[in-house]
Amino acid sequence: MKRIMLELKIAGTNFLLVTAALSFALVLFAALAGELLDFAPIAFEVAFPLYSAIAAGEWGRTRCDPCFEAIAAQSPSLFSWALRRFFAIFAAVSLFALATMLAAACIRPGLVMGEMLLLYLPTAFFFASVAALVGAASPQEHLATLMCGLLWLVALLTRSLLRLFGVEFVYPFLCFAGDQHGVWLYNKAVLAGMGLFLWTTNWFVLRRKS
Amino acid sequence: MNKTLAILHYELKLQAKRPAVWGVFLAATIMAQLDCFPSAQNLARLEFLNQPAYFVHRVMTLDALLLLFGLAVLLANRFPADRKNGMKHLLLSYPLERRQYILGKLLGGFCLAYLLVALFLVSNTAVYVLAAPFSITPQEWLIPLGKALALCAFPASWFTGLLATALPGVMDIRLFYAAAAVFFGFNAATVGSAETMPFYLLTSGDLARLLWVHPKWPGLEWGSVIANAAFLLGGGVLCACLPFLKPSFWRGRP
Repeated sequence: MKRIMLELKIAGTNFLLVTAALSFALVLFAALAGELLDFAPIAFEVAFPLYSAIAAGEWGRTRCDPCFEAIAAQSPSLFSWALRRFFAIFAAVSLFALATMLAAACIRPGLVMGEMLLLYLPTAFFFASVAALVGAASPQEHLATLMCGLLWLVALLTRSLLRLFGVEFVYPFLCFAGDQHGVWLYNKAVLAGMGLFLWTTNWFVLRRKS
Repeated sequence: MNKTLAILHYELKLQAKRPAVWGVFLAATIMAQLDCFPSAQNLARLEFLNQPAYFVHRVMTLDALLLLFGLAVLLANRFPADRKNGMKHLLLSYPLERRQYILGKLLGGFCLAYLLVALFLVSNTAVYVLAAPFSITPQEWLIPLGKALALCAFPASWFTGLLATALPGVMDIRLFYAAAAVFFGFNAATVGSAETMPFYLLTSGDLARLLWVHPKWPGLEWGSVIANAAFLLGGGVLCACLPFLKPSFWRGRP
C-alpha cells in the first residue's frame, strides 16, 4: 500500500487535477444533456476508458521513465514495479470514474451502477493494458497515448464492421454502437481476457529486463 | 524572418525523420484503402463510390481525421520537448526573438499537417483513379481534389497544426491529450444528416459539403459553411496567440 501511495506521489498533483477535471466535465455533461442521450456508454464505455489509457501511458510510464535505467538496475523485478505503477494509476482513475458514476446516477435516475461498472472496467482495463504494453516495449514518450488514441478512433470510425460475424464479441464500444444481439456481457468478458493476455505479453517483455 | 524560416525548416526536417509520423500516415492510408478501394465489394457496399467526388469527400471526412489525430498527438510535444531536452536553453543563447521562435514552431506544425494531409489525399486519389474498374476523366477527380486541398485540408490542417503545437506550450500536455481525444472522438461519432452539421466539426463540418452533397440532401447552407470555416481558421489563430500571451514563455518580451 505504501508503495502504491508512493507511485501516486510520483504521478504528481496534475494527474489528480486533470482526472478531477474530466470527472467534473462528465458530471456537467450528465446534468446538461437531454433525456434522450444514452449517457452511460458515452461516458463509461468510450470517454473514461481512453482517459485511463492516456493516464496509464503518460503518468504510469515504464521504459520512457527518466529513471528507468536506475530502476532496471536496482529493482528485483521490473514486472512487479510496472504492475504496481499501473495498478496505482488505474485504481485512481477508476475511483474517479466510480465517483462520476455515483454523481451521474443521482442526476440521471435511470442509470444503474452495476451496468456502468461493467461497461467501464473491462474496456478501460483493455485500453490501459495496451498503453502499458506499448510503454513497456518502447522508450519513446507519448507513443502509448498515440497507439491507444489511434486504436480508439479507428474503433469509433469502424462501427459499420459490426455487421460482420464475430466482430461484436471484440468491438470495444458495443453498447455505444448498439448491441443488436444482446452479447455485451460476452463482449466485456472477451475484452477483459484480451487485457489479461496483454499483461502476459507484458510479463514476457519485462522479464527480459528483470 | 530568416530565423523563423530556419526554425520552420528544422521542425519539418525533424518531423520527417520520425518513424511515428510515417507510421500514422501509413495507418491512415491503409484504413482509407480498406474503406474506399474501388473493389467490387466496396463498390457494392458504398452506393456512390463510383463518383470520384464522393471518394475524395469520404477520404477527407473519415480517414483524414485519423491522420490529423495522430499528427495532433505527435505535434503536441514540440514546445514541451524543447523545454525537456535542453533545446530551449540552446535557443535562448542565440539572438533569437520570442516571436521568431514561436512562429517558426507554429508554422512548422501547420506545414507538416498540411503537407501530410495533401500527400494523403493525392496518393489515395491516385490509387483510386488507377484501380477504378470504370473510366474517369481528369476533371472528374482533379476538381474535387483541388477543392479538398484548398477548402477542407487547409482549414483542418491550420486548426490542428496550430492547436496541437500551441496549447501544450501553455497547459499540461496530458490535459491537452484528453481534450483532443474528446474533440476528435466527437467528430468521429457524428454522422451526416440532412440538417446542417455543427460548426465545430473538424473534417465533417459543412465545408465538406462543398466537395460532395448527398443527392437526398442537396441543399447547402452557406451560413453554416462560413461558420465552420471561421471556427477552424479563427480557432487556429486564437490558439496560436496563447504562447505569445504567456509572459514566462521566453526570456522576456523583446
